[in-house]
Amino acid sequence: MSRFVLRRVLGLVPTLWLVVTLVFFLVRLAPGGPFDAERAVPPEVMAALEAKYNLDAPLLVQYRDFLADLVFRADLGPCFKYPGRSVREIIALSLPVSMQLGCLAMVLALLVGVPLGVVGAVRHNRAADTIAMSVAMVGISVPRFVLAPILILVFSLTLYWFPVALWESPRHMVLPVICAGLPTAAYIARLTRGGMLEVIRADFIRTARAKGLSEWRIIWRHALRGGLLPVVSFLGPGFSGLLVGSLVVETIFNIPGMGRYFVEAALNRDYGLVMGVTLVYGSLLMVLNTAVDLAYAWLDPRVKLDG
Amino acid sequence: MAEVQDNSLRRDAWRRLKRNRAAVVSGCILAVLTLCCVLVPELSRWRYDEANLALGPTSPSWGHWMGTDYLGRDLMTRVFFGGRISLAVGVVATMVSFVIGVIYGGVAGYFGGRIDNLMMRLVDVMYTFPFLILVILLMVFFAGKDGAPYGVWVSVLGVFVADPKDPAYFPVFQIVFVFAALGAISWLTMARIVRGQVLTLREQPFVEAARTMGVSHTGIIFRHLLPNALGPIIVYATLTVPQVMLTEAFLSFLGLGTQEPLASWGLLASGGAEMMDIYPWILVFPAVMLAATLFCFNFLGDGLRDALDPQIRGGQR
Amino acid sequence: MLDVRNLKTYFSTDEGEVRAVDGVSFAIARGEILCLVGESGCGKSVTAMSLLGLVPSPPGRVVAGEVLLAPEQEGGDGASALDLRKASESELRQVRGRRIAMIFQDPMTSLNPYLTVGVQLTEVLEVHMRMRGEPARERAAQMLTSVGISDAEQRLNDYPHEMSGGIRQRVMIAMALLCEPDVLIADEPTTALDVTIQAQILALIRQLQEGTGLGVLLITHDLGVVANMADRVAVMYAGRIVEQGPVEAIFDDPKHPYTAGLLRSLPQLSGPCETLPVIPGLPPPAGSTERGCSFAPRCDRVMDRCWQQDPPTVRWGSGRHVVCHLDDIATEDGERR
Repeated sequence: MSRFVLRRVLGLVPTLWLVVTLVFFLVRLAPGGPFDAERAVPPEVMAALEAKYNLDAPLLVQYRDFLADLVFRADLGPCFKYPGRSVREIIALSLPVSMQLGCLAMVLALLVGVPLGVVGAVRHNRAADTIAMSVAMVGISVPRFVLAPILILVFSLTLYWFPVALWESPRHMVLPVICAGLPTAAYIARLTRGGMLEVIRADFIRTARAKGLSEWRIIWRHALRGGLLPVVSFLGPGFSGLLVGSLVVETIFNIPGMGRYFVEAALNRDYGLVMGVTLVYGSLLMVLNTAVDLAYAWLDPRVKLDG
Repeated sequence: MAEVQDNSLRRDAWRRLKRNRAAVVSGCILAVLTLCCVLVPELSRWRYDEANLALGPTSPSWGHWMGTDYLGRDLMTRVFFGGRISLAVGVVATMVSFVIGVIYGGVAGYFGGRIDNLMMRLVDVMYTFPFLILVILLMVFFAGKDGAPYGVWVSVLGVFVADPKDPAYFPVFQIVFVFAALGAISWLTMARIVRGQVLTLREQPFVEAARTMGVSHTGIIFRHLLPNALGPIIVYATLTVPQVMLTEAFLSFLGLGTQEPLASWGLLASGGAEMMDIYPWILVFPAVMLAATLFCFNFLGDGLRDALDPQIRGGQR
Repeated sequence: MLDVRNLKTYFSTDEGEVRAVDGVSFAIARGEILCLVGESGCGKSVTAMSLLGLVPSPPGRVVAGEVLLAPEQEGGDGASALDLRKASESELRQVRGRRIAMIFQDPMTSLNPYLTVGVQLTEVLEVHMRMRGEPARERAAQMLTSVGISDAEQRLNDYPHEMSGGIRQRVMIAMALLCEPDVLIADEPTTALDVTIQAQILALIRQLQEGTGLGVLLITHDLGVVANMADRVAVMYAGRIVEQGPVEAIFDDPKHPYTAGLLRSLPQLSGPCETLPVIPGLPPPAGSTERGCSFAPRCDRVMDRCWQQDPPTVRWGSGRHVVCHLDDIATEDGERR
C-alpha cells in the first residue's frame, strides 16, 4: 500500500516535469510577448524590462533558471500583470478560494448524485427512475454559463435570496457551488444508476435476498460498494471537469479564485502565472487521480495495487 | 457463423431501438434540427452577419421570429448558422477521436502482450495529463494569424485555392483548429473501450479460424474484430458528441472557440447570458437549441446502449 | 415440512407469456432429500426461486399455488402452516435464511466479492438471531469448521476471490445452515465444480443432513447425483412434473417415456460399451403447448390422443405418480384420480 503510494508519487514527477517543460516552451514560442499590450513602449524601456525579467537570455538558459528556481526555491518568479506581487503570492491567495469552491461543489454533487442514481436503479423503469434520470439529463445538457445566469436571475434578482456575486460569506457561496456542482451531480447520478443496475442483477444480490436481508440492507451493504465503482473512477475526470467548470463559475460570479487568472494570464503572456497555474492544476489532478486509484482498490478487494 | 449471428443481432438491436420512444423522438428531433441548420440560413431574408445598428436588439416579432441581437442581426439566422458550426464541431471532433481511438485501441488490443501493456500505460499517463489546460493554451497561442499552425494551414489550403491568405478563410481555419484540438483530447477513453472489446473478441473461435486460414493482421482487425466490437464504440461515440459540443461552448464562452462574426450555440448563449435580464431571448433561443441537441444526443446514446447491449436492460431472462 | 401445491410462475416477454412453472406440486418431509431433475430451461430453478418469492418481478410473477411451510414445532399440520405465497414481505424475510435456506449453482458469483466471508456469515446471525460481535464470529467459525474448512478463524477475514470454487461452495453451505433451517434448497450446487469436488460437496450435504431432520430440495440435471443422493425424485419437463416417486422405484421402472429416455441416456458401467441413446429433439420453450402433452413431439410412444388431450395424473400408490396417457391405458387397476 505505502509502496504503491510512493511509486505513484514518484511516477508523478516525470509527468509533471513533462507538463511543465511543454508549457514552458509553448508559452515562450507563442507569438507575442508580455509587454505587447503596453502601448508604445520605447525600445530601451522594453529592453530594460526584458533584462529585468531575464527574458533576453537564450531560451535554454531561461529554462534552466526557471527549473532551478522552481525546484530549489519553489519560486515561480514575478507576475508581470500585477507588478510587485510574485506568482506564489497570487496563487497562495486564490488557490484556497478555488479549492473551497471545488470541494463544496464535489460534496454537493455526491450528495445529490448518488441518492438520485440509487433511486433510479432501485425503482428501475418506474416513475421515480424516469423523473430522476430526466432531471439528470437536463443537468448534463445545460452548460454552466447558461445555468449561472438563470440561477442569478431567479434567486438573486427576483427573489433576493442570495447575492449576485463575490465570495465573502456562506450566503455568497450558495449559487456558485450549486452552479459548479449540479452538472457533476447529474453525471454522478447516471453513473451510479448504471453501476447499481449492474450490481443489482448480480448473483450475490440474489444470495443476499435468499439470506432474508432487508431491501435497505441489501442496497446499503451489498450493492452500493460495487455500484459506486464507476463513480469512483469518474472522480478523477470529474474533478478536472469541476476545475474547468470553476473557470466559468469564477468568471460569472466574480470570485477571486485561480481559474479566473488562467485565461487572463495566457492572454497576457504572463509567463510565470501561466506556469504557476498549470503546475498547481496539473499536480492537483494527478494527486487526485492517485487518490482515486487508492479508493478504488479500497472498495474492490480484487484489485491489486501494482501500478 | 459470425456473420449470421451479427446480422440477427443487428436486427434485434434495431427493433429494440425503434421501440425506445425517447431515442426515436430524439433521433427525429436531431434530424429536423440538422435540416433547419442547413436550410434556414440559406432561405432566410437576412444574412447571419448582417448588422443593423439602428435597429438594435428587438424582441421576437413577425419580421424576426427570434428577434434580433445587440447589433440588430436576425437571431434566427444566427442561431441556425451557429447550429451548423456546433453540430459540425461535435461530429467532426468525434470522428477525429473515433479514428485515433479505434486505430490505437485496435492495435493495442489485437497484438496484446507487451505492445498492449506499453500502449495502455501511455494512455494511463495521458489520462493524468491536464489536457484542457493545454488546449486552452493552444487556443490562446496558436489559433491566431501569427502562429505556426496557421502557416501550415495556409500552405495546405494553397494546394486547393488560389489565395489561401484571404481573410475569408481565416474563420474556417479557427474552426478546424477547434476540431483538431477537441478530437485530440477525447480519444483516450475511446481507445480503452476499443481495446477492451478487441481483447475479448480476439479469443473467439471465429478469429482463430480466420487466423488459421491465413487472413492478414489488418484483415482480421478491420474485417473481423472491429465490426463485432462496434456496439459499445458507437454508443460511446454518440455520447462523445454532446461532450465535445459542450467543450466547444465552454471554449467559446472563454472567447477561445468560435469567433465573431461567426456563431456557434455556445458563443451565442454566452453572449446572450450577459444581458439576460433585459434581452432574455438572446440567451433563450441558442441555449434551448444547445440544450435540446445535447439532450437528444444523450437520449439517443442511451437508447443505442440499451439496444446494443441487452444485458444492461435487465429483467430479461 | 414443505408442501407445494399447484405452483404457477409466468414470465411476460416480448413473445408473450411464458409459463415457466405450470402447476407444480410436491412435498418435502422432515429429513428427506427430494431431487428435482430435468433438462436446462424446464423450470427447475424458477420453481426454487418461486418458493421463496425471489422471482425477479417484473417480468416474472407467481400467479397461483400454495407454498405451505409447517410450523417450527414438531407435529404441526397443514392447518396451521404458513403459506409463503400469502406471507407479507417481512414474514418472508424471516423465513428466508432462517427456516428455508438456499444455495446456488455458481459459488464464484454467489458470494459478494466486496465483503469478507466473515461479514457475510455473521450478518445472517445478526439479522435472524440478533447475534453480533464475538459470539457471532465464533459461531461462524464453528460452522466453517463443520463444513470442513480448516483455519476457520483466519478464513473469516478472507475475501471470496482468495478461495477456490469448492471452498466457496462450502462457505455457501455454511452460510445456509447457520440458522439451522428446516429446508435447504440447493440449486445445482455442484454443476460449476470439478468432478472430484462435486463428490465432496454432495457428501458434505448428505453428512450435514443425516440425522438432523433437514429437508433438502436438490435441483440437478445429473442423474448420477440423483442416484447418490435422493430419497425421492421429481422429474420435470416443460414447466410440469411428469413423474414423481421414490428413487428406487423410478430408477427400476420408469413409467413416463421421458424418464425412461433420461435413464437410457445414462452410461452404464456394466455391460458392453455402446453408443448412448439420446432423446431426439429439444425441449420446447416452457409452457408453450396449449393443449395435449408437451413431450408428444419427442416421445417415441406418442399416440393420437397425446396431441389433443392433457395427460391425466395416474397414481401408483406409495407417493408415486405419472402424468401420461400411456399409463392410463396400461394400468386399468391403477388408482385414478
